[in-house]
Amino acid sequence: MSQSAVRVAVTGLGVRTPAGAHPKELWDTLLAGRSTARAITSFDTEGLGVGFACQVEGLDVEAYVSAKQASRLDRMSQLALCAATDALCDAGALRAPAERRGVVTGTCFGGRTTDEAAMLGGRHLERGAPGPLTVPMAMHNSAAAAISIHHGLRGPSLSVETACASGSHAIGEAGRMVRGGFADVVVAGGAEACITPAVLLGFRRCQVLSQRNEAPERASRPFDRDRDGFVLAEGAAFVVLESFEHAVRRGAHVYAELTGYGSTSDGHHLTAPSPEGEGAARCMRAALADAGLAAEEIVHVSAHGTGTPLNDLTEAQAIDRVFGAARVPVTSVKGVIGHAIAAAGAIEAVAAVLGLRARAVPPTANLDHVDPRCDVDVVGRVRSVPSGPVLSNSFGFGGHNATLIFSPC
Amino acid sequence: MTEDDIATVVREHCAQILKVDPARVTGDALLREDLEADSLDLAELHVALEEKWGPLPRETLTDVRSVGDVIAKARVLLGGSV
Repeated sequence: MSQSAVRVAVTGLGVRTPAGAHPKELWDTLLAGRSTARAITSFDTEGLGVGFACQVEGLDVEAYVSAKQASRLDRMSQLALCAATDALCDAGALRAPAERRGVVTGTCFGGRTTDEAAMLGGRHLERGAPGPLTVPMAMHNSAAAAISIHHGLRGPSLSVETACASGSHAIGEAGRMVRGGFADVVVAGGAEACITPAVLLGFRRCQVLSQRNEAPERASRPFDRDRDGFVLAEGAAFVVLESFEHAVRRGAHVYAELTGYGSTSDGHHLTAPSPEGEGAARCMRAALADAGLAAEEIVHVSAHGTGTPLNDLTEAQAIDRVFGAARVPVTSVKGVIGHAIAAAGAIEAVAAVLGLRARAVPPTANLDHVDPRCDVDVVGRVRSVPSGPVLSNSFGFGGHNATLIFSPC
Repeated sequence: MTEDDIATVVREHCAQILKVDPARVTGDALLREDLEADSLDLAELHVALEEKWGPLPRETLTDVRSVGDVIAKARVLLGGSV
């Protein structure tokens, strides 16, 4: 995004993840490289085929809003509001007027817990039992609305939906808003709370979930030879993006600069990636061009790396097409935190910024034997790298691709 | 159902939906001013009372101001069964 007169600074971070509710906690857990997958205890998983996930424990929403306000938010929006509030607090006092502050959220399933409770309840099978709050709590823009209302953000507020790429697209689109002069400050990220019986069963029947029920902690194993699918997760992450001018004027702490954003589509298939990752490669190249960077300048790639046989192979092919002889270090934090669908890209954006600051690449958990067909440099142990830009990929069902590049500043 | 039973049902639902201490849900308590009820709360109260007593006219709660007003409305509407 350095091509534009307006540069985009990252000045705040906030997370709610299975690996922690604070960026430092998340980073330490990622460095330790231990999976957070556990048996699901919140509902009966008998007969679903998969009985584990990466869950957020002890969500502290009532430290942020009253009990009544919390009761009007689906878990997805609660996760979002907590993480976005932390990001805004981290960014400190803003100077831009409320009309120049915005929010962009990404979600795939919206207020799914609310939706399922309403649709599966009641005496009439064909009607469910919706209450007056069902629609406003289940609607997919509910997190953007909650953040806007709670923080009095009166500029643009919207939600983008590109399945597993939603969180990255939200941050990328927010960056464009700032770069385009449509807002001075935008809090952007993704949230998902879809660990429900129906979603778990749906993904399992789609044949994308790991079924390593006997060893959940070893189930999420991106790029490993013995991977058998992803581990469903939940969470939220938000970043505060603002124009450098606004950040400098108020003396803000700047974590990094959002220098590149690529957004492409495969135009190919409802779930399968395009052959040899053509769409993904084009997306990474678009982000590099946007940032005005050469592939050799990237110090590490935070891969989408879900742990499905097809994603990892195709993504490795795409990375190889773009980076070739540069042999960039590649990691997937999903080995530790699973796949939080629309929140994944946002959590990984935060991880990328933290990696950039620490000059370190967190390890890909459970990487016992790199799949020999994945001809990339997958990082299995914490690795030090020079200061430089980090590239983060997200790809969604439907062929939606998003790539973000964060650079030191 | 006695008049006392009606009042008890209304008060319990108000406390539960508005998430306030039941002791504050007196007959004189103003729904919006004292108990911070809004349009969504009243819609929830309407549904809760319908779950208990069956369909109620759409405008049942449109002009109520206090908890006592709700109880009075309910008494009139349930007059036949009290």
